[in-house]
Amino acid sequence: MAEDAPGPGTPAEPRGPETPAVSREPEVPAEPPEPVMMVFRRVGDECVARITPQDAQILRQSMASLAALLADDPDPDDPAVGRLFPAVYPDDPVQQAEFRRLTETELRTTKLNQARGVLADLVEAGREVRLTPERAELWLRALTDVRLALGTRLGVTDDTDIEAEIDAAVGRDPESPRVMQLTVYLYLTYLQESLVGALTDAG
Amino acid sequence: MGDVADTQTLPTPTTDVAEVSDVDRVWVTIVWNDPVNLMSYVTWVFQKLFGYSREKAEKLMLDVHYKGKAVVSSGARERMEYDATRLHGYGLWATVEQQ
Repeated sequence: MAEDAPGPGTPAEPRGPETPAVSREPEVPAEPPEPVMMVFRRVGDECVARITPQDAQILRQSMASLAALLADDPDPDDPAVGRLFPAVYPDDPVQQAEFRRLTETELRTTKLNQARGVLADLVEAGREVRLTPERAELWLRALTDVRLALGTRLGVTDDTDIEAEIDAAVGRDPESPRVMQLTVYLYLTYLQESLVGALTDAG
Repeated sequence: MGDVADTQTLPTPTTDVAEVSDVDRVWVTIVWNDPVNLMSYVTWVFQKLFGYSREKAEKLMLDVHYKGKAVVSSGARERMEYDATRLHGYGLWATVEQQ
């Protein structure tokens, strides 16, 4: 799992193909976003965050890319798709095929609707996002799916230090897609952490 | 799993019968470590989906993190498949097996 300190070593997720990850159509800002611009806090029952146009753009692109990944027949050989739909019976291909046949369409629809739900919330949001507990949970699941897909493509492991990866990637080529993808990944990680914190805040 | 299984419709997960055939062996849902999911999020998911206390959910999360996996529920096979699907809905990496 992701934490501040590097965790014990685990097998690395397979590295994704060379295609751009979650941002397929890079109408990206020229400068990488500063991490932690948008932070959720608890107000009554709701999770509330001020949102800048740049926040909204990053989230829109991320969710739109996730929706695109899920919308048409997802490629089962795509490692990101594999991570979003793990095998329940990895050692039993026959059982697994049957299980997938019975469950995958519904799971895919659920995930797709979650990404679209965040997009809809962004359309309605002005300079502030206000999420009921139910919407906050939908956001958490959608943010998880985006980070799983992006993290798989970036080859993130338990030992990956994202900030160090960003520094290294900037050193090689500050304009590279990898710099942007890593920065977005870190941004979404902080955002999700703040939303979990706000939602589980007992206050 | 906090609910009481209806013995009319669900096989009990316990092994209090003398003869235990393969059919009766308990099924489990296992969650595996992954490098992306946040520790706080995984703890919350265990509380949310299974109604576990924060303490139990945190212990399971730490088992997943440090041991690589943890059994998060056990019982009838269909129930485990349901649990695994819900966990996949939350982005956790879950499998089902018979112990």
